[in-house]
Amino acid sequence: MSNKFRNPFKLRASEKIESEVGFLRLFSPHVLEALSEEYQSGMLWENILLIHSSPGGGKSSLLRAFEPASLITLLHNKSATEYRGLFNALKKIEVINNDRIELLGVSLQCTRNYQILEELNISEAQKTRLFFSLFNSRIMIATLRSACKLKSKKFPDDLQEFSFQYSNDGNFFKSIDLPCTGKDLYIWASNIEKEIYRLVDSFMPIKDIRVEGHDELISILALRPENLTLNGEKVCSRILFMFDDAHKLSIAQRKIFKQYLLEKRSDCSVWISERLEALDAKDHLGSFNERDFQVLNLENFWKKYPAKFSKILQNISDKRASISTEEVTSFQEYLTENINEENIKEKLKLIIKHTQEKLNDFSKYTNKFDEWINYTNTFEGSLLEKAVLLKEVEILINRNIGKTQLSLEFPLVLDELQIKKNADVTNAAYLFMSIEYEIPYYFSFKTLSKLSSYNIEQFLSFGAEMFEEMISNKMKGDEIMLSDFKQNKIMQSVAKKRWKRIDMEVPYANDIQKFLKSFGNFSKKQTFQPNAPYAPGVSGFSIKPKKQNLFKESLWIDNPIYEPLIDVISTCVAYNLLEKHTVLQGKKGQVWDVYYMNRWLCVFFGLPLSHGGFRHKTPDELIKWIK
Amino acid sequence: MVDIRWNPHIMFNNENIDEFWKEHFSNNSHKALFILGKGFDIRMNITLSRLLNQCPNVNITFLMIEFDEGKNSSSNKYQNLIETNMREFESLIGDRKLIIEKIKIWSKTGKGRRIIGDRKAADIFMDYSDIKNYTDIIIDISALPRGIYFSLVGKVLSIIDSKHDSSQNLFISVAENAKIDSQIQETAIEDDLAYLHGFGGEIELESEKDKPLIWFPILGEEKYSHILRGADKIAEDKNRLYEICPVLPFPSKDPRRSDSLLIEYHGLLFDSLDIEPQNIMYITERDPFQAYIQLSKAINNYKNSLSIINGCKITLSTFSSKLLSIGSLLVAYENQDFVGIMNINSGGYKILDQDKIEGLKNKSELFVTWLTGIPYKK
Repeated sequence: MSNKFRNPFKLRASEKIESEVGFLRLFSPHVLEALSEEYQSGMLWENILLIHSSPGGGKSSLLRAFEPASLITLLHNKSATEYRGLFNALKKIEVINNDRIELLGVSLQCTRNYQILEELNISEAQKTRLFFSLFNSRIMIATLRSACKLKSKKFPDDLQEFSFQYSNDGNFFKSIDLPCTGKDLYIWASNIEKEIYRLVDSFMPIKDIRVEGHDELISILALRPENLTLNGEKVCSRILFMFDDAHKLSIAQRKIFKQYLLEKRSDCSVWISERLEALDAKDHLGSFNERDFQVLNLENFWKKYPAKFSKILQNISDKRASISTEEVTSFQEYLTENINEENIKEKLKLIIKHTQEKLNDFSKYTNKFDEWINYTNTFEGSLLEKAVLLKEVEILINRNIGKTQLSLEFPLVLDELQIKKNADVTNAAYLFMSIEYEIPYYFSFKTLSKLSSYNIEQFLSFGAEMFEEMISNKMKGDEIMLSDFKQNKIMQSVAKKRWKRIDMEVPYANDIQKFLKSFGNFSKKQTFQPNAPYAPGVSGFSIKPKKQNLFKESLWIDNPIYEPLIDVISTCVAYNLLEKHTVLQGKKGQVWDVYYMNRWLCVFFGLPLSHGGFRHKTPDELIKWIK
Repeated sequence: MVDIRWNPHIMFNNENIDEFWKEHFSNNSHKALFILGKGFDIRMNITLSRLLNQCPNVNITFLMIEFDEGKNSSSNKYQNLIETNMREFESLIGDRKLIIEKIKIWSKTGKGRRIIGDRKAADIFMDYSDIKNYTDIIIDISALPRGIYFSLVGKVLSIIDSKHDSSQNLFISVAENAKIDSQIQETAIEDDLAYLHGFGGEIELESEKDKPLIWFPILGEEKYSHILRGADKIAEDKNRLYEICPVLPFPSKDPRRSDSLLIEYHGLLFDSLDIEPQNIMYITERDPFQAYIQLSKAINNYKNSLSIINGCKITLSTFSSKLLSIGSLLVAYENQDFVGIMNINSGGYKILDQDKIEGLKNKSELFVTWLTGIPYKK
């Protein structure tokens, strides 16, 4: 099998190109800084950590860094420059040292088949016992597999060499004599798992099954470093249990699992990764009680370091390009960063003409802006610079005349124009003329990076179409570089395709599309006001209850009238159509949960990609967006 | 060649089914149970009308499965089509006995939803006593979703098989029409996938995860998102080896169909999923038993080749016609310890052109497969 691919950006299973070496090379030690903070405060180990992100947000990659295969690779390559940062970061938090791996990372995928237990015609107590039994058996098997991997032993053949001891004072282990070999433990756990499986998946009722029910998560309690040995030596200094995709457990199962961990407060280290979807509707909208757990939200983390996230995307894209069979070996360098002014010359002339006419109309009523307008007339820059300047002046004049001022109508001097002109106004000016005159707006690697909404999968889906075009250019013998116009077209086309797929892929699609369309129209209306009051634009809303001081937010959430709205917003968050940000605004640092469009929706609606502008909306106003 | 159960086998097509019904039900000793779904699909009554047309005096009881996709399902807007189907159904059955079984396809808990229709369908019949009074069981899957009929058929087969001296005839019928299929689009497809009840194939056992997973998706049109979600499920365990073997329908009524499918999914199959061209397999489009034989051969080849590394697990998914899905059902039923069926359920359906679909009804073809009973008695 070849290790090269025609369009590697389209490749779904990243592990095909990301061996442990490749994976670690791409993994940014920066994300470990969040864990390092927890370590400094003594909260990382012997504790429970929840890791949240949307699909494709990097939860699984973070967990993978702590699995034996990654740690072994790292130990073997500890002096290599490319791994040094990661090695030191992991060393700092006591995962690894120069001589050995201290941590046994046990990763367990939570699949949907746990939920089936909820459908059995048995009591709730029996369901819990079966759930704990199944969970215990799988944790045992996963731990033994990881131990084999860490110690370079063959699973399950070499399990005979491992020993497991446990006092069993609580009589947790009923059908196995302790101490025992790893092999005995494996057989015991496998039998429990298979019996439960037969119970839930057989067409015919199983009469001869007597499953060993568990009231405790005995696996987590019993699997301590001192209890698992290989030839008399401890396998590791610490065991970390990592439960990936915990949102696939039922609500009841998640609850009893977390509750159990909280109540036991044992000194085990448990990380639970889950999608935001896992949270109940009210958790998305209300304030989730997080005080009982340490929580790491990956998207929120990257939001603080956009430049570093962009750097990761750059690494990923160049790495993908380098394994293309089509000899397009780079990505970023084939995305033009600047607009081609020659191609839009006629449009710029038109913008200048139209805007000058508008400014002259202002002059007919007031001489207040004459100095500004004269400055634009005498400005000797390129057509693009002049067009942007005129638009800026137009926005600032609209802002000025919109204000109800008591001041006298003294003409404004040029210095005031320079003071009022800032990056937001320039961005708004550029956006206004781009959208109105169909000038490319969405192009460059920086834009693509923003468009990813801190999600690598999303970045790759847009990048794949860009790379496809680069390959085509190469085959045709054309210049590989993608023009501003082409990039803009591709980004809009991918956004349109994504919009169409909502219908097939997302529940409540009808309501969601109506809601998002209304949200898009509202945002456009707010953004494209002549005075650009929320420059560079609006693409978010926060939910402000009508009578905030009299009623708590939870009241509207509990009202069944708003159920469709809760379904829509929660599903949008779960399917990554809306991004939930925490924003400080108002008196005394008031905190708001702001729901921003995923950035690809901004492309779909023709809005700017920067976060920032949002408006407060009441639940009554929002539910009208579904009607 | 491995010994497989349904070889030889009996199947009737649109041309010879009427004659068969007439002959089979010619004496009065038969007591039949006819199971069908209540739905908007205009093919709902085709099997029934053909049967009653040939055998107006047959002793028959009806069991109608009324499935509920939830209040937000896009299917709910086709109530008028359901009513039309029901009027026709009622006029056909007259005063014969009708049992109605209501099934919820989804269970909503908080924000989440999980599929329960498969298990509920299997629970319609608990044991042999539920079917012992019938000499013939006909399951018409024309208006039943895959998420229901796979587990239902599996359960009925299991019950019949559990009684070793049973001579009950089990028929699966389907009114096939590719043009109607293409007019009905699935919406809100399932995100977190699971194996169908009874067809888990022991694939998700932690203790079996060292066995490589081989996925045979039987391809049909407009299923890009389905295939992608299925592939994600197959690859969800990063440490498990897997292989994807796309299955294309050929020979087919439209001889270019498999080419068109390859064009439709070229990027997905070869760029996104990195399929080896030699993994592509062809099965005949209009004979589920042939599909069953071909798939059985392929999976047993894999099983034998990989026995050196402790064997493998097989996942089947049908994104194609219901007729072909019967073939994969039989393979999975016969190899329950290592073959599973992964279905991508939908939250509802959308008809692209309702007028067009009504004009196509008469062009549907009826196929009836005979799975247990007289021809298989030793």
